[in-house]
Amino acid sequence: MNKILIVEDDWALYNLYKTELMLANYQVSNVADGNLATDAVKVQKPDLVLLDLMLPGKNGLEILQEIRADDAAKDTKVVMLTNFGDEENVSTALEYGALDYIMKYKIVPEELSNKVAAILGDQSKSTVSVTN
Amino acid sequence: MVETAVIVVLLVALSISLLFLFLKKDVGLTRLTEGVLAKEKQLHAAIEGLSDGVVVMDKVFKVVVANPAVFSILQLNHPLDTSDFNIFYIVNNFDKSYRLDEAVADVFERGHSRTLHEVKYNSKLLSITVFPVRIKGVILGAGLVFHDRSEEQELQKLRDDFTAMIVHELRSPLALISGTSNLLMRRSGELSHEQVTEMLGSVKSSTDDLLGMVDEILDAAKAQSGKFEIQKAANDINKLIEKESKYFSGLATEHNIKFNLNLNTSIIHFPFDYLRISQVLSNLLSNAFKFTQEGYICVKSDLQNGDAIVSVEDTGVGVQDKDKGRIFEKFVQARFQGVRAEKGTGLGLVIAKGIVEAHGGRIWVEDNHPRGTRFVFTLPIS
Repeated sequence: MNKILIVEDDWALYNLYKTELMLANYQVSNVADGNLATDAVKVQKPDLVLLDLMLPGKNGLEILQEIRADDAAKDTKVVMLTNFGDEENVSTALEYGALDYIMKYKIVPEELSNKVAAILGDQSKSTVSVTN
Repeated sequence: MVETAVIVVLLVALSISLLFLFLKKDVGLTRLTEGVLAKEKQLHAAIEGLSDGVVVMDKVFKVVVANPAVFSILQLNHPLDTSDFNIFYIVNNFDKSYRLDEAVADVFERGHSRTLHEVKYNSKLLSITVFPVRIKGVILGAGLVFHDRSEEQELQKLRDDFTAMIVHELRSPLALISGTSNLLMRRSGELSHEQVTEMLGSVKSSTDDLLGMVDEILDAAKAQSGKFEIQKAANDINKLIEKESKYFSGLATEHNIKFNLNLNTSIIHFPFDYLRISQVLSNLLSNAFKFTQEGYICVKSDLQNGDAIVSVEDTGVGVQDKDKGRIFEKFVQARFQGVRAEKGTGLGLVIAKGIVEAHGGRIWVEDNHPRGTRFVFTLPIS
């Protein structure tokens, strides 16, 4: 079972994504504090991190940099999942190796689940082709 | 003297309408001269008092007029030997890539004005206009105007950050409402009753958040246009303070912060909008608790010059001097650094100012010694 770590400080949104992804048979965990995110990645070794941008303590781009700089975590697949879409943030995140930059308000849980399936190469769970 | 001619050029340019009026009324030459002299004094006073830096030079680049703003904007000392004060003392401080020296030469050669819009100078952003000074079509000198755009640029950045933050805050509950509807429409049959109820609860609170934010945005717009409507009735300000403070006493215990009230009980009932003033105090107190990690928070009421005066003191992080004057303006609170401090629009102080001013009162912030801040507002009793 693939493990997904959701770095998200809004509990209700986390609960929504968790419910959808668990119904798609993923194992889902959460960290809400930006300062704890990189350690959680190192300890939990998730197959994919869904990373918010605006977080308490440390922002998503800083966390992404930390992950990339840490030997134990640097190859972790990361997708940004945020409501801040300015071009600078998007290009910085992609430059730091984020696989995708998803705007929360533009995507419904079903589409999120499909994107996750496509990224993890789980074709049986993907019902829609994924485009950026 | 050429120098005098240059000053006269400026003088004539700005005095032309006055002279025209004098001549039309056929006023005698003596009065005319007096008028010109008076106008010259006014002109000098005006140039001295300008916030833009103004420099005027003659044809051999010698500076004949330089107002104080030139030296403050460019952070230069006035040269001790004014006989040797030429324009290159100023121009040579700028990066060569702006070709300011060429712009100056161009004015003399072709008589063209030119504005360089974005000139970086130390940490500032300037616009510089170079213009010819003519008398009867002959170029006798040139002038430079230095306009400091740093503050405009900072304000624009604040506006952009504010918009980004508001959009973010509105999108978050929308994402939840839209996402939950999608999930429940497809898969509610696979969820427990508790899960569905919990999700619908989140939709309800997201909807409330959205409505609250829309109210705040509208309130802030009203506050800024001075159209805040209030409903006054005779009320007891001390009771309001006691009631509002009850909500925060639990927070004080939780954060181990001393929370005191110091109320002047001789304040009589007077007319104010109870709900709106509660909103002001609630905002000041929640800010105080947000920014105070240790020490105390104290609410005081008193009488001063016929006004009720209410203050909220804290021993928190304080407000920087440069922000004190503008902390009640829209945009200033909304600095996004990608790190979440608090949810919401950040418009609380803008609204507080609107409410207090609609009562005819004032609100301001000052230092609380040795640390922290004191927010104070007044309400007229009569």
